[in-house]
Amino acid sequence: VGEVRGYLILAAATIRAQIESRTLFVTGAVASGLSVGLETLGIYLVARHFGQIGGWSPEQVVVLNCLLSLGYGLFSVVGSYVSTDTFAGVLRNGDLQRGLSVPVGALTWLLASGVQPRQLCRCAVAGAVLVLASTRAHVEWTAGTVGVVALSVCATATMFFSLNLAATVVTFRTRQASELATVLTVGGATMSGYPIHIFDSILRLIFVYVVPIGLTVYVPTLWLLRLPGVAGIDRSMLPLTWIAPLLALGLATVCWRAGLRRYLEES
Amino acid sequence: VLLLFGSAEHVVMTAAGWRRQLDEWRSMLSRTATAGIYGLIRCGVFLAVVGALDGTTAIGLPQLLTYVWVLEALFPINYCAWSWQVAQRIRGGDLVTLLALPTNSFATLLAYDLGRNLAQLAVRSTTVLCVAALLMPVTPFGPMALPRTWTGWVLAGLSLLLVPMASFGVRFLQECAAFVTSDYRSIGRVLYFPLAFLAGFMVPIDFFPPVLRGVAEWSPMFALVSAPVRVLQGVDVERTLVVQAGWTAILCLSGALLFRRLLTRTPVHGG
Repeated sequence: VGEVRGYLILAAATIRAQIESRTLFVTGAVASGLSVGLETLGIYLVARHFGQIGGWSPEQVVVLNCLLSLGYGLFSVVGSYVSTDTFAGVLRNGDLQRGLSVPVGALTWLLASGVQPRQLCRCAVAGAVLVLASTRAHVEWTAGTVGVVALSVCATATMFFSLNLAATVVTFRTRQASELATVLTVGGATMSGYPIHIFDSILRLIFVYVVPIGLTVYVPTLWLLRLPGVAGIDRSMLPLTWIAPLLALGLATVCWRAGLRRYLEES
Repeated sequence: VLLLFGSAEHVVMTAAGWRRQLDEWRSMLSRTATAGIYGLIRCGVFLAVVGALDGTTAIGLPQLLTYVWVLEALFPINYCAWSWQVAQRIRGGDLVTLLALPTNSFATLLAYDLGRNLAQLAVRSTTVLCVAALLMPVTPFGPMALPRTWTGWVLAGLSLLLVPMASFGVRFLQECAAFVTSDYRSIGRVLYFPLAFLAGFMVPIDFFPPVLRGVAEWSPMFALVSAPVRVLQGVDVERTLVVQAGWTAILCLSGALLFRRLLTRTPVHGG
């Protein structure tokens, strides 16, 4: 309870500090909205140019991409300081030392200090485009489909968070952003924006079973679009979309603790 | 270029920029490797998309591969790690040291930036393009669309050399906002994604609908990515190069004129 209360107090202070400069806040929000809008437009144009991607219409591909953007947006709102390049800056500037003097856990401080309310604009744009595209892709909106969307968004955000949190074990040692985490995050996001069945079996294996960003986006999209999927990745894997991120989160927490312990011993 | 290298001081500044950038060789090497991985991922996406269509597309895979690798090669030149340093100097008052030099201030800034970006072009961009050109034929991706004559390679080199100047022009015009507002980064933030989209950083402009493609082809952003991609692909080379050179000249000249005009309105040391 103390950690939650501490988080809420610190997060509220972070939000107030960010809203203080209205111009920066508004332009940051507009920029994050534009980024997701234009990225989605880009993928739509690719799909429209080729007519379809792996048998999916441009609108169906946009639905998939919007789920990914919503998940990444949620991660950006709550976990931006864990992001590998930002965390390297936090370490180099000595900000974590300051955070350790606050009477909450180091991770709680990190999460509360990195709350980015302007990234909600990213989620809002992705959500609006999802509603538009899903109408054209004939998605039936029921309580079940809303639940699947919520599951996918939370699972994807947890996956991005876990990847970056796990990478902190390296950043604690090197004080540099982990290129591997960046590649997996950005690469995973790039590939998961397309129907994963178009990739060959090795890439499918990596982004479904090793770094399951593909799993948390693709399988829920199959549910929304009422598509059967392909051999090895089908709708029956929906339960895995919440089990896999939880396992990843557990593993990432172990990495974080190991890295922090070493950091405290050194400092 | 002749105007720029008209004085020995500017050559010295270019050399200083070159050396400054080469000092960061470790970072450049590490990011070159990352660019290689991103390039492979993007190639994988296009291979998968085109492969799923049995190869029946208006734009062939070789052209798309060229787009991917030119994009990866030129990204650090257009999205510089030292962006906004001029704006910081303007707001911090450090610009006064530059004005005290007996050289044209705009040309000095351009020369230093050019030196840094020429080093990036020589180390990062050339490595990425050469490795990609050599490796692609032995991978499932197949060969890239590249010039087949010496003239084609010379024109491609010229097009790549124009990018650092065009990039400076675009960035400098945005940084001039620091003369009038302390929130200069806000303007850059809002402009970044629309400009990147128009330049063809997100998808090739050939995929745009006709009207948007027309806007992209006749915008200054064309000089940053789409022009060198087309020159390397061998598409309408002479016209593309003329348009790219024209935009580069316009960007640099308008930057110089704007800088001169804004300086007359800027109080330095209270006067």
